[in-house]
Amino acid sequence: MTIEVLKQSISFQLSPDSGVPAYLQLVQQVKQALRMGILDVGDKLPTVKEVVAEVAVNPNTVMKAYWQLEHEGLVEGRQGVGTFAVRRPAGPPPGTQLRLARRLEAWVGTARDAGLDDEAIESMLRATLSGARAENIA
Amino acid sequence: MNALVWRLHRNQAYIAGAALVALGALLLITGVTMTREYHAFLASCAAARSCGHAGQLFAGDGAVTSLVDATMAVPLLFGLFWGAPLLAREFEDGTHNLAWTQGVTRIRWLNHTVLWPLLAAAGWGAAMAALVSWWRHPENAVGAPVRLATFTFDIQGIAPVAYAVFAVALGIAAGALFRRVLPAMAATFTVFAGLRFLIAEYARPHYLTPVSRSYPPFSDNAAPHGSLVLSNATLGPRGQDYTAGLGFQQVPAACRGNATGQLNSCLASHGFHTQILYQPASRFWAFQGIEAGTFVVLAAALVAVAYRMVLARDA
Amino acid sequence: MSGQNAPAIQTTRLGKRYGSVWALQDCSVSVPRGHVSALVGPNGAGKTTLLKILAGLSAPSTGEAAVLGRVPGQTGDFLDSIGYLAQDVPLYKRLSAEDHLRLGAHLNRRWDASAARGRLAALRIPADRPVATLSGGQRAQVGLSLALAKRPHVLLLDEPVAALDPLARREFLASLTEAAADGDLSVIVSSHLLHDLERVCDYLILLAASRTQLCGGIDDVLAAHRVMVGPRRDIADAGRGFTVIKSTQTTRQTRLLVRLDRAVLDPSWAVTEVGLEDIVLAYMGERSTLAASPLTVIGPAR
Repeated sequence: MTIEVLKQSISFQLSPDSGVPAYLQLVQQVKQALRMGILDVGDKLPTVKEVVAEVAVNPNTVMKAYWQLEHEGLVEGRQGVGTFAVRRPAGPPPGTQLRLARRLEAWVGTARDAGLDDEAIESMLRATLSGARAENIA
Repeated sequence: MNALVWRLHRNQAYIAGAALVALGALLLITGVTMTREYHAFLASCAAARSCGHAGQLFAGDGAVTSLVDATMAVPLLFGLFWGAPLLAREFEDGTHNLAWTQGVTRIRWLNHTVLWPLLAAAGWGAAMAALVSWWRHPENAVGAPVRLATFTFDIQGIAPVAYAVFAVALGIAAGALFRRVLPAMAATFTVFAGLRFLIAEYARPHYLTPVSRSYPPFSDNAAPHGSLVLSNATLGPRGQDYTAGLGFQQVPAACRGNATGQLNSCLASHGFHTQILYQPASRFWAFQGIEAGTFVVLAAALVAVAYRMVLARDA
Repeated sequence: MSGQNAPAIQTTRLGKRYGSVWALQDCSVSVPRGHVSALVGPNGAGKTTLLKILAGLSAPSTGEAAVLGRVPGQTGDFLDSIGYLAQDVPLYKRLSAEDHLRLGAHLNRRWDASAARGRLAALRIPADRPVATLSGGQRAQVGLSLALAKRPHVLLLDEPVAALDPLARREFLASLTEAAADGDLSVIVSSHLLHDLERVCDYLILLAASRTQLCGGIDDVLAAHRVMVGPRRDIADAGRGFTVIKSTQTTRQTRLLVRLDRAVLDPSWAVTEVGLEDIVLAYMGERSTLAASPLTVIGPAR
């Protein structure tokens, strides 16, 4: 068994084959930590150097992730001190998530009736997501 | 840079140093004994007028004498183990790519890398030559073995210093050319042995014009004591070579009836003589100077070649 | 031009010939400072040659090269600015890592061994044993530490991870990116392992047939290439207006990997993004239609 003990607040993991860009994976993992309360408002995020030493990823990738988080208002970078969490990501109102799940089920049913198999549905979903992402960034 | 050169080669330096100390101890101990024997002999032979037999005095010194003779191989050892691997190993291991991307320029690297082994070889060679020359002093005084002769010439005086420097320079140049240790060592061995042989055998006897002398025919030991005899021929009045012997037909009629004792003087008066070409013992240091100078000049040329090859070629 | 605005490396029609064989021809690249750049290409494409010329170990046959605005050569300033790690990590076999660190202090004007010692200790690499007794991964870390202890501005690495096991490779790359994160370090690393390079590098130099095929930021490269799939048609026709890198014809289908010079308007094409590995392989492949101009600079014009 390999045991790793690090001095930073959270640790990261990258899946290179997931199709999701590396910096977005970092963004998601920070958001998840915030959502689950692992990172509290005011906590310091790992430095670029700490992330890079753990995960062997380009430093610019980490900076891009932190800029994205800052752009979304979730973190704040303080010159010479570090990057700190300032807000928890807004979750959907309780009912919304349930409603969205039901609509998704219905849509999947329609797609299956139309003859799409799981893979076709997944690839359509991925294309839509990446299209939406491109619009978000532009 | 000096720290790097020392760190890389310090083991070799230690080994060579230990060997020199051992050799020095051995020669000092035996040499002191030899000197004492010699002085004792001189004291006794002066009284008995038998100093001419001094040549037999040190004939039986066996193992030590062989060791002293073996020091002739030392310059070649320097060439093979200090010179040839110096640059060749760097290229073979690729460490020149490491050394040449540090803060030292290639030429400064080369200066330090090459200079220290050359100096060390010269120093070691000088120490060894001094030891051997000192040890040989009693033998040289009695003129046996002849100092100018091959082997004895090569291990004393200043020639060993020049050989050592030349061997290292040759190894360095071979290493720069072949960039592999074994081919460099092979080339160093071949060229060093070949050149030394050729020079000792064909050039050295003629560094200065040999002295020519005529003696009465069939004389023994006609050349002065301690000189290097190049040729010894018995010649007739018109220059015929009778060294192998004189047949009865070739003896002039006037001499045929003489008894053996007067035969030689009769032949002499008819123009028969022994012609000797030799190099006198007094020329030892002149010859040493010429030989050492030659090898030092060759060494300098080889170092220049090595520089050119290292600086002009790619890593 | 030298100083703060000079690119990390720049070459102009660089060529190197060994006898009658050109190891590198017409190579023109420009990489800005602050990037970790991947140098990729098939064997014999000239990667090692390019790195040796940039490190001042080899002289070009034609063309020019500059590192931070300086011509590679035997000057103290140039040697101080670069770090170089040759293939197979050459080290003095009988010396220990600590010996190397101590000697480096004598040979270099700028030398900071404390970070190197710290890193070797953290990785539990014995610093007092001859380096010949260390494993390949440990030797690579020693070599990297020596290069970084010089505090170079440009680090040139020739296939440093080729012979390493996966864990050693990951540790090496982590050390490398950590050093890059410190700031003011540009890295050029050549490798065959595109997977590793993609996460560690943000710039790409692609050599094939001893020429430059691509030179640009990886994000820009990804944005500029697409795969177009559609019913089988004539390639010359279909590819008009695009730079086709690779084409695949089947009985029913035509697939093109293109560099976009304009938008794809024809709806009979399904256009998708393509991964870096596929892009690189397309440029390297034999059956590829290589880009018309030898230099392909993607991204902001110089």
